[in-house]
Amino acid sequence: MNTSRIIVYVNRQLDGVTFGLDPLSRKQLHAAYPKKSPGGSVYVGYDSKADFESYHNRVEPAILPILLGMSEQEIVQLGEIDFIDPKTNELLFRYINE
Amino acid sequence: MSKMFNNYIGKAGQLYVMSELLMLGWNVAIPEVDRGDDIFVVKDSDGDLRRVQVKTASARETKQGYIAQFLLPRLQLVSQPTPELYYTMLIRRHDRWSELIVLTRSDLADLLAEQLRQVGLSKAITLTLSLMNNSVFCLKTPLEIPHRLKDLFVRVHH
Repeated sequence: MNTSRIIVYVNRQLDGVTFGLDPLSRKQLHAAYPKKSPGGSVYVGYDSKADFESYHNRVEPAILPILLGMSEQEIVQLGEIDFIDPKTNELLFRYINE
Repeated sequence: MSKMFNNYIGKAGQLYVMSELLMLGWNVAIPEVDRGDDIFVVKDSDGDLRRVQVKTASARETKQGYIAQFLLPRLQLVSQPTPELYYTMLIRRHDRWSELIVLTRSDLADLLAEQLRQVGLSKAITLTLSLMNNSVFCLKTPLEIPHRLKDLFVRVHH
């Protein structure tokens, strides 16, 4: 796919995290894969913040098929995918296809 | 018009939107602590909760109609909180509220996708809406997604 890198915003809330596809990334995906319908966001709730810390780096790849509406084989073809904190622009996780 | 009067306009807009939501059968509340949401809106029958942001602007006349500009914080648009945030954009024209345009945060973020990537952290984005012949235009293209209050807050019958 000849576009810029896909970005997923990670919005931390009191009792969970919302993973949301960057609007421009969604447009790019829709243009490249018109038959796919990427979702807007995926919410992952947790009982304690410690729970989430233990999910970090494990939950992100699992989010992608739901968020992007694609199979793992298709996601591999997208290139690297950045998970970014929208408040600070900090890179929290980078999905690398290997 | 003084900066202080903006507070009066903002409150007037908030109460107007609350009134319209009540007339559609939705319950409303103002958060006790201001953390950015102007109104909490609830469908009492099933607990459907929505957050509403009210933005007001004065109309500026053009040859074909009028335009209105709204300042929207970038962070709020990309944060994607749960539950979804609804932006109500209220336009003051000829001493009355002439137009109420409603968009979900996600629809608005899609409309402004290119701008959101370009602006830096904590910056605001200016949304310009043009109104001509009963149609609403955003970035010179007609707004074809549902954008009326009654479309997004379907009437609740009690």
